[in-house]
Amino acid sequence: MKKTALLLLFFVATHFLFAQTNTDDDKNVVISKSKREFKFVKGNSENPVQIKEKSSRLYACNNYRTDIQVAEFYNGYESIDDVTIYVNDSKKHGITPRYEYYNADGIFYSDAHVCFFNLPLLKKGSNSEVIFEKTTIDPHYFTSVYFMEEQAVEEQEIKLVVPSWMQLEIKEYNFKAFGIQKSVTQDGDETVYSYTMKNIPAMNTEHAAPGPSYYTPHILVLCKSAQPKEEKYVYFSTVKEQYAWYKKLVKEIGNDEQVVKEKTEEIIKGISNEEEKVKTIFQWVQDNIRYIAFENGIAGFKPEKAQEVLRKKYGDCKGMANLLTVMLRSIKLDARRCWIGTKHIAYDYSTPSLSVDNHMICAWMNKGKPTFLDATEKYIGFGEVAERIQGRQTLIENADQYLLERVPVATYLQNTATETRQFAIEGNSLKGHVLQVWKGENKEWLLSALADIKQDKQENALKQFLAEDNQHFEISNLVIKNMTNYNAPLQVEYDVFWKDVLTVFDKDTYLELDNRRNFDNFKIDTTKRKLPYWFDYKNNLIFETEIALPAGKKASSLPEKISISRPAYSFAAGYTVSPGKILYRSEIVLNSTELKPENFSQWNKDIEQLSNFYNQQIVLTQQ
Amino acid sequence: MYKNNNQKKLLLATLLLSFLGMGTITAQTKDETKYREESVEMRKTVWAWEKPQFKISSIPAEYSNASKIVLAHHTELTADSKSKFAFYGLGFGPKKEQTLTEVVREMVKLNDKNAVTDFSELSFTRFEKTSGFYSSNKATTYVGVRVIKPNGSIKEINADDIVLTKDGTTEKKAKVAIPDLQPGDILDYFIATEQFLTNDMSNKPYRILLFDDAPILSLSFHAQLGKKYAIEYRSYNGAPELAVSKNDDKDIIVNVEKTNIPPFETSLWVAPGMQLPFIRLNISLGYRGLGSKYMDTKKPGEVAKNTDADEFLDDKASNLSVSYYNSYWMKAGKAEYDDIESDAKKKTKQTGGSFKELSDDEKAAQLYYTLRFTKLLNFNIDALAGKIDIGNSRFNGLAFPLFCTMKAAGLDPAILVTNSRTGIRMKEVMDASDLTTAAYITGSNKILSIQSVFDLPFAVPDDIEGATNTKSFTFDHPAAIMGMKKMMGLTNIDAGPTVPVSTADKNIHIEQMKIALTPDKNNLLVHRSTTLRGLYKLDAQSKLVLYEDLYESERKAMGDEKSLLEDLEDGKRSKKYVEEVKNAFAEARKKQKDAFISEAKGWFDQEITDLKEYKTDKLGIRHTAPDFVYSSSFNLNGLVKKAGNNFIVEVGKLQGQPLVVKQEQRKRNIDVFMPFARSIEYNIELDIPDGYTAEGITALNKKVENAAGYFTVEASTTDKLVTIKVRKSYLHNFEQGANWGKLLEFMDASTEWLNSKLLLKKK
Repeated sequence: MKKTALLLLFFVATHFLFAQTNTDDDKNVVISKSKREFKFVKGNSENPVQIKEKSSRLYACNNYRTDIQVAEFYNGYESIDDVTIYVNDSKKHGITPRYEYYNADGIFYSDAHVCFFNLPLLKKGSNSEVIFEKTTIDPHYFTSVYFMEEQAVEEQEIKLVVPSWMQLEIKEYNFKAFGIQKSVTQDGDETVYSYTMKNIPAMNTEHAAPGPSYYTPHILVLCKSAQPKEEKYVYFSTVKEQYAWYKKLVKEIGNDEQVVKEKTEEIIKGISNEEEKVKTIFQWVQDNIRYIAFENGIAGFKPEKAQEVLRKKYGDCKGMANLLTVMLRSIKLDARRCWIGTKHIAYDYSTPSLSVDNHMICAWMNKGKPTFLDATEKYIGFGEVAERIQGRQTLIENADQYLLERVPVATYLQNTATETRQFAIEGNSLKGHVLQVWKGENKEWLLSALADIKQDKQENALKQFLAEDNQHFEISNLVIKNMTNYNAPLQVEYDVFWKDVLTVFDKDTYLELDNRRNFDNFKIDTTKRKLPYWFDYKNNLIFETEIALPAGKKASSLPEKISISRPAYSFAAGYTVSPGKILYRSEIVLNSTELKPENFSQWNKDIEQLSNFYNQQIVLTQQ
Repeated sequence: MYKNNNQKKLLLATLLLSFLGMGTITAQTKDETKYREESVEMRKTVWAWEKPQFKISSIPAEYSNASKIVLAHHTELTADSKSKFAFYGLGFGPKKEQTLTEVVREMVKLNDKNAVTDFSELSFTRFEKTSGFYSSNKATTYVGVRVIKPNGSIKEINADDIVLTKDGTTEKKAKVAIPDLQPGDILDYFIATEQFLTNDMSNKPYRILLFDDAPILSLSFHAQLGKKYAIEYRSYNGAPELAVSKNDDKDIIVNVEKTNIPPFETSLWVAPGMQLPFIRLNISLGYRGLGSKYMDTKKPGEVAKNTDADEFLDDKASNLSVSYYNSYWMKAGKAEYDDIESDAKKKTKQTGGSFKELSDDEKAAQLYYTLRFTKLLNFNIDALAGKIDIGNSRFNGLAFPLFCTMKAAGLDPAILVTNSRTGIRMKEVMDASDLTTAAYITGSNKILSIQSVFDLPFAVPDDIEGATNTKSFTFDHPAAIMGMKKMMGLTNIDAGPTVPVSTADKNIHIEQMKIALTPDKNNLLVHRSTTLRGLYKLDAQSKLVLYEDLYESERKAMGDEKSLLEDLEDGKRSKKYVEEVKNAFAEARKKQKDAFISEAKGWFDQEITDLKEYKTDKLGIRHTAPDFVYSSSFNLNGLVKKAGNNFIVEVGKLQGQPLVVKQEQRKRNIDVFMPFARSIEYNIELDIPDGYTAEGITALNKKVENAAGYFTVEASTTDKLVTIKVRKSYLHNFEQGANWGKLLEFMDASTEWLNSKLLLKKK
């Protein structure tokens, strides 16, 4: 993860790190008045342009006395200069803010810090106020201002004070639903951008939802240039400057190609085909470089030296992308570093800013056509692309120029998982053989889950998973193929004795064949969920079973097939009978990973239909 | 990005000393250069250890597929001390300085990615200093890490790889991501902690654990303690004996080694203190001088193996004696208990009784309820959130306050002292904290304990059930007490009573379920009434009972006229905040529905929808009405299957998800320590829809019964109704390992029954 993502986190996560997210109906504490001002000022020779922030939030207690936790983040480019706390208009409250290193999830070490404390609201109707004064020492890192807080805000004013020597552009996002008023006034030499708003709801975090840049009101501040005195400083006027800044950092890395080359040649020894070389190198990095991220200061943006990543056998996305690039170049292949914002971020490079990207990958240019390699995806195959970067615009290194391309979008077929069963009836049980095959991100998911299990427990865990934790689903002769070759589908074959799965009542035998029940009951709780639902990846689950019927038995009742087809997904399942056999086939397709709130109701109805189908049994009768 | 880095809490961490106490800021923070130099020295020393166990790299064949194998684990503990004279402001005094150095080195073979991930990051507190009055402590931690590759080459991490996550003057925290670590490598690392302590004569408990979830080829411990130290030690559960000797300088030398320790992986119903091998040491700076007999200090150089447990009982007796003196013998302390008695009398009168006419047991119960009502359930606006959440608070049994309350009211109470049934055996205790206490009434021997606000008088906490080796503490109450010796010697220790064990029928979960198909015949419509009794209640009470209901129920039982809110409305000060209280109570009541849904989902392990009519019917907080009863109606999804014109109801799944013993846990030879004997009962009435008949009823019947417990199902039907009675019982809280098969027998039967179905056949 790059610093930009952290910065985004700082703005968005301020004030709701430690406490639970307020729900709409939890209005005990609200921010009755919030005033935040960001002022560009002249700095010193080292940091000639700085941004002073003063934010005052007046908390009001509506229902009953309580404490809330207040947290404000800072880092190597941001400092907290002063914190003033009033409890019922008094400074005599004994609160001492704590300043600590912030251990962000997934980042081993960064310069992220947090200032936090408990703020009491003494009784119903009382107020407490917190005023933070902060400085951002470099406009590169002043990228966005988010308007939502952990508590609902009754009245808010956000001001940007921009002197005439500062050139910037402001982009507004997600204003529509919130009635935000904007005014631009001139105050002497300064332009004042004012945003006023009322009744902004509390920040609502939901599982499997888009990133906040998609739905929370905020502005992107695109700092273009400044001339506080004689000298002009250019920030990111266009993506060209942003690329130049990145490129400068790349030049400063200090890669030692010779060291990397030796290792690379050792890895590809005996391989002559270029694509095979790339595949082998890519998987070597996937297998041998652990993901450990250092994001302190400029390390949030500048990749670690390739030879250091090679020595340590760990690195973050930048470290892995840079290592891959240097490895491929060391054997004279055309490789490029690529900056990219994952799907979590709503913007692309039409808004040059450090908020645009949060990730780095490598592209192998094969006859001018990029194949994207993301070694942080530990088990994805060569040429396969993870959902989180599919369709995203990427800034590709191209000497002093750059290329802007989109990562290809894979269809659901990339991730097909197929299960084929052949069973015969033995008494009240089924006996037979199963073949399961996982591709793409389904394969990656399963391999990741297995890697988290101790090797001596893996087979048992896999059997438990395949048996859906059912002790009657007895698996034997398990054979796993392609556990270590991510360029081939993961394949598992086994024999099954499915004990007592048939239920006999009188002359009839009843059977529920589909114990996978994919997406059974996968309903969205429309009373609680407000945001779109994002699936992890597009999906295609095919499940086929053939049952040989013993002589004299016939299917007297089979569930009616279902076939639901919507633009974003389809469910189809049904039985067919051929002489001596029953065939079952179900297929679930997720064409798109997004379910929009307006489609929740239809989705729930379709899921109910699917569940009802699963809840029907086959009836076999003696002829 | 997006990848989680699990941080392994190293095995070492469980063994590290926690010696830090009070201290003043007198020491200088070590500067970076000095720290680095010291680190280098420490590494040189540790890596140079001539210990053959750290030279082994071959793995026994039986462990070749293990995720990780601890090749060697060694602890080196050294302690030295000196006396100085120091000025303390009021005058000069002796100053005892100690240096304690503990080095724990472990060499572990990592065979897979899981093991590499576990060990890839190491966090440690590099420097720590605590401050206070009189004594001064500081600790510095050094680490060394090297990776031994399969070809034998050794790579050591350098100091630059270590990053600081806290850089304070009193504490520095650091972590390191271990470079070039791959499956197949051997990680050889140590954590060394050097502690300087001043005027710290306290006991430093130390444990050497001889079990782990990974196989250990060699585990060893060596200590060299200066002649002024004293130790006592004991080996538990088959752990090897320590070899203790003295060298020419009279230093105490301690050694122990065990090789080839297989992995221990069963965590179901294990009592580590009773079953797993470990060694405990108490290490302290010996002191014989002014006041030493009251400080419980040992004689310098004293070495004691298997110290008589009575010594620790005496410690407990002394502690309680001091409490008795301060909190009861002194009039100011006793006044609080007199108030409880006076409240108890008043509340008895309010409910039409007379306190003095109650039997001793009835008086004890009334005092118990009064203490709970006036001291725990009492409303306090300044602790509003805490009061609303009081159901989740846990107490230590409140033996002493309960004892004093009974004593003040003229009863004849005592304090029962014993061990926890899953803790350390009574005869093997090595610390007063190994002992647990409960108040009881002599004569009837009825126990009084408050571990939660839902507890009942005379209910025995599960952790002391069946205790036989118990002691009874009572206290002398002389007219005058002079001097420390007298103050610490008020406790009389006598043999205590045997604590009863509750039977399976006393700890019971009963489900009364009236079930019908929903109108669309896709799901089950369930009306459920649940009764919980005995030790089964607490978890559900904590989740479902509201503070307001609890308070009001007790208020009425106490005969107080006004409700809490009415009372607050009438108070001059409280009427100003009564609105807030109403708001907070209303919010808690709103959240109760989610608690009911979550409890039902958890119990039945199925989707629950359309929950209504949820309520707590009986709170189960009085010994005269001990059942906790709650009820609700809801749709239970996923158990009705359409089969042609008929319906199959998966009745087996109405018992939720019974405990399933994992495959790797099925083989067992160690004894089974369960929390308590218990029963679960389902009384199911299923309406047969008009136009249908029920089939498959006979096949539902089941009976597996043995000495450890039973699982039985009795099913019958009429034209309109299917009745199923499911009963499962674990008859004892303890079974010998040999009986494990018997437990499995009826537990398996219960799991098998999950598969049971009945057919509703269209006529």
